[in-house]
Amino acid sequence: MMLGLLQGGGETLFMGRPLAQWRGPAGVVGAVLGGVSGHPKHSVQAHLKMVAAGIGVPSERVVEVLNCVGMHEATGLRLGGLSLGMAQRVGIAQALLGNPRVLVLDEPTNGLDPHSVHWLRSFLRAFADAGRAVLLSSHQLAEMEQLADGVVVLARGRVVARTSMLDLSRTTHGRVGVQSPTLDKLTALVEQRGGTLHMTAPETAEITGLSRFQVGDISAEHSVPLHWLDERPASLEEFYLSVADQEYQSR
Amino acid sequence: MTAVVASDGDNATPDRTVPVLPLAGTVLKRALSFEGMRLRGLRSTWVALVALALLSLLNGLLLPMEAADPRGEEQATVEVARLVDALQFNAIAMQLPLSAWLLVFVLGTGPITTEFSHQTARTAWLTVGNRGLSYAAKLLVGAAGTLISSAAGLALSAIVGSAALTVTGLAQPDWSTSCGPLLRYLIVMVFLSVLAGGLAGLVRSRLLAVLTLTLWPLLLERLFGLALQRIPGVGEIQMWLPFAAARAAMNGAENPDGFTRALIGSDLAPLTGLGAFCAYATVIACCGWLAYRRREAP
Repeated sequence: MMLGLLQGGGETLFMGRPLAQWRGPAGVVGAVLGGVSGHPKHSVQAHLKMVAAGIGVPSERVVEVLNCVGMHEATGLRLGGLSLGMAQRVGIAQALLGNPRVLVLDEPTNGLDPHSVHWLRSFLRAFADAGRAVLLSSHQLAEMEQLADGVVVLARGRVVARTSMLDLSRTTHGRVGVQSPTLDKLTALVEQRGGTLHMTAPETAEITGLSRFQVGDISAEHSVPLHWLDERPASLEEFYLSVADQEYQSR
Repeated sequence: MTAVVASDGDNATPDRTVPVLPLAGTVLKRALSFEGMRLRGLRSTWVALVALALLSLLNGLLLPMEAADPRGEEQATVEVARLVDALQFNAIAMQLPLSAWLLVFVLGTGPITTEFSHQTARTAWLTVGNRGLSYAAKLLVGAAGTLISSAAGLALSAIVGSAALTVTGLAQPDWSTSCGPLLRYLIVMVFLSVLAGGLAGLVRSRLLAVLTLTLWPLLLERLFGLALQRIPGVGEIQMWLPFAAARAAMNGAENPDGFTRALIGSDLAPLTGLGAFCAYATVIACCGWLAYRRREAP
């Protein structure tokens, strides 16, 4: 919808203008929406040369982008014969043809082998480090956690949260792991201060809602012996679930 | 979940270079190049063009067989009406020129129906810029391709036919008189491609577009004409139906016999028929655009 491919409300501005007003959208946004969208009988080279002609860049650029995505040996292959990973790389090559300022990717790691996922992660990081923006939508939150600088949570088509990964780690409490022979006593103390203690094994528990400093202080004040205390930062998945749950419950 | 990967403020400077806004003419030229290269990259385009070239060659070689018996001391030659009909790939007898059947599905409906069957609209719209431009480029390139290939086929038939007539000792026909109907044939071919593209955009289905274009001139229009004849006062309307008008436009005989008139299905003057067919094609192309602009490319 942001790219004008689907009908819908709202407006998206790319570098201050709607995409349609840019006339040459490929120089502003490169999109990878699930592999490469082309005629299966076209060869990779013919397809990319066609797109290059539509964008108005010389056909030599095709060789450059194919080298960039490591697909220079696949120029003669037909689009219909590409594997999922190869199609994804050709899709990225196509998106890069216009040298865009923004790269939009939808579920880019779907069906990719670990080697391709690693390559994609490095590639997107390098693209972002070159001063450009990458907007990536995915349900694979563990993957996003390694990649993203900022996250936007959408629930039922609406933006319900937006934060940077740095702020996320600062502001959200993770889980505090404790080990103690007197967990019964600690449970009551934690609940008094608004936290929740969840037993995971004999004499071992996870506490949410309090930081490790608070748990340590409570234990010291009330002479609760602790044999282990650590804090695991909130994962992106936990953040997403907490935000999305709130959104769904509020409606 | 949407992740935003942005440059690290400490390590990279955001790329704020504003892309150059191309001129409207440049954008149109690029869109035409895009569609032209799309067609060139397909084997079906070349198969259709080679088939047309071979048929044109054959058409020319067989032209002496169209020669009428000599009258008195006159040398035998090919009459203008038969010459025109032969060079138009028997447009009247086949209800549409054979060249149209070859080209219209590749250059007319093909660019648009491919988007339905292979979901290529996403690439086209994000490359070219917008749906209107993409649609216009498809119709224009299809029409230009049809014009060039039809004209080339016509020229090949004429050159080979002229040589064949000379070799067989027949007199050259009245080429200048045949120019009018042949020019109208080329215009009909161009607008037929536009009509086919518009129809494909309108019906949104490859199969339906092919079926409609096949059955419309051969069957549907005839049946509709027969139905109209049963209604008092509107029988004349069948002469104005699109493909009847197109055949009237391409007709090269000044006073066609009854059978030929029945095959044409219209008594309209050639230019009137041409105008009617072009108007139909334009209306269908506009309707196709209205349907195309509401399409989505998931």
